[in-house]
Amino acid sequence: MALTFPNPAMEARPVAIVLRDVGMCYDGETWALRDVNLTVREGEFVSLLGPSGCGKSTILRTIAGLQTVTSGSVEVLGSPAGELFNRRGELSFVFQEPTLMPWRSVLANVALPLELMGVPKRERLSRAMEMLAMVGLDSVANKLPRQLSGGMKMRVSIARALVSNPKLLLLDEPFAALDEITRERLQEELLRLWQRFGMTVVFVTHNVFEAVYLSSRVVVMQANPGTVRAELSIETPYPRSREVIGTPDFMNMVAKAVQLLGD
Amino acid sequence: MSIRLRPVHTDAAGQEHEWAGDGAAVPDVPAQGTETPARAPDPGAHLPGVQAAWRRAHGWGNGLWRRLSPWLVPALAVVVWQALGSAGVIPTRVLPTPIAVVQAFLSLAHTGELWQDIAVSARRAAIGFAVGAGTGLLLGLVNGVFSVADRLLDSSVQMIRTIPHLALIPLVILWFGIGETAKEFLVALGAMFPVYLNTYHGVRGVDAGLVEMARMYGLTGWAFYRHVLFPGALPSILVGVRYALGITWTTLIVAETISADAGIGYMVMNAREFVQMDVVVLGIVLYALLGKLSDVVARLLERWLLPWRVTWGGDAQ
Repeated sequence: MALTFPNPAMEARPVAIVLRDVGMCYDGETWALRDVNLTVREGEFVSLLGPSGCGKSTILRTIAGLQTVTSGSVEVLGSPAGELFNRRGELSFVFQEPTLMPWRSVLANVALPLELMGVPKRERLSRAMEMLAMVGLDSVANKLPRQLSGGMKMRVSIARALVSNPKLLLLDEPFAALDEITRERLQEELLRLWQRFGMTVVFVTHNVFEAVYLSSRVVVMQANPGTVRAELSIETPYPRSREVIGTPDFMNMVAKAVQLLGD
Repeated sequence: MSIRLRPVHTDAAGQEHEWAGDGAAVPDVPAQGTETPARAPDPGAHLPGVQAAWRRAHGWGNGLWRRLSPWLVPALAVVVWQALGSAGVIPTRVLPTPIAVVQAFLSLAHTGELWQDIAVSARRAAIGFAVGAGTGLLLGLVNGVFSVADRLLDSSVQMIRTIPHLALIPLVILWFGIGETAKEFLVALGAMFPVYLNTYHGVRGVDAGLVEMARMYGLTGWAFYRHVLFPGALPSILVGVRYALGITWTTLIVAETISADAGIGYMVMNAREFVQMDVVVLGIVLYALLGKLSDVVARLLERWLLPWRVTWGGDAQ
């Protein structure tokens, strides 16, 4: 049984994602995921925290419809996962790599989701430009991805994910490959965008500090088989700043998460 | 946790400043020098520090020198060749002097024979290359994309590939005679495999992360091929095209030398009958020039189609 530390304020919100008894089995014997139950409510910032091999990325991919589950059900924004492909723009995914098309300008990369939704050219370019300005990169709109640093590329990737104004943003260890300073800046940026747009965020990470600092709720996972071990509500109010990192409350939460990971 | 001297996340103005300082800076106004290697017009700019400065100061790496330097060695060779010929060190019946070759060129050009022969050869090269490279491209794309086609066809293609296509000349003559079709067929066969191999390789080498991203954003069907697969495979495809162009001319030389009634090869073999040494050498020079020309075209194609590519300009430390 998973331990839960519920946050009453969140209980009232409508449900965005429900995973019921989800199991994932590749070879008929070993279960990558087993008995995963998870509910994410609208506007939450939920982190999936766990060691590698615990299936946290797999959960994200099933929510995105990139993988289908072996047992159980996954419901996203009121539809079974996977059917969201037909409702383009409502769900976006940010990968660990920026995955920008190297042959397209920064602006054209950001405009891609709108292009696929059939938004007219002028509108999509102006919306992409707006989004780029939002992440502070409007000055490099016409450059090619290779002319950008790693952190800038990731910011472009986030801008691309947000340009369609999605209800749900999934991020799979987006900052894992970045240096510490860039990562901190992008964490701030992500929090700012989340508070501005209010989308539901599911964020996969193996970094305890990152999870506790960003999230309204941290879902701690364990491996073999991958399942939810506990859920921690992080009560620290938003907007958060780096100052909270030193506070006893914050350190308590980190210690708790570390302990849950270690058990 | 950490001690900060300046706030990282303050207001809009402060933020923009922070962004610009993230990793390798890309200034809004590209400064001259080394900050924006990808855009800098100076080709020496990617070289680090001292060497770059030295090069700029001494004119290495600037336009004129860069354009002329590849021709320096060939030009020198021609001068030495002429000098040795004029001095009688190389007898003219072994090798005519460059001036004699130019004279042969002028007289053949005057009668119009030369242009006709070049046109015939170029036509063979073009048709053979188009058919061969086209087939290779198609096969490469199909086998690269569809694993069923790959299992069915790839091993057969690989088997045929190992046969030197010039070994088929006797068979080709029996099939098609010594007409145009025989030569075009041989050229096509030669040009097909480099394009096939590189296209296949290019398709399989497309960044898996990019493919997954495309799937996530709903890029499917034709849009996926047009926006992800083809551009991703293009650098490799163009390498194949360059190889294929080289093989095209080699094949044509052999095919035209064996049997032809027109074309550069015919011109050369005819000249051999009459011991016109200058015309023989002229023919060889023509092949070299046409080969170089198609290579230049292939390179221009690369530069035009792949401006986004990260390339290394050479000059390792």
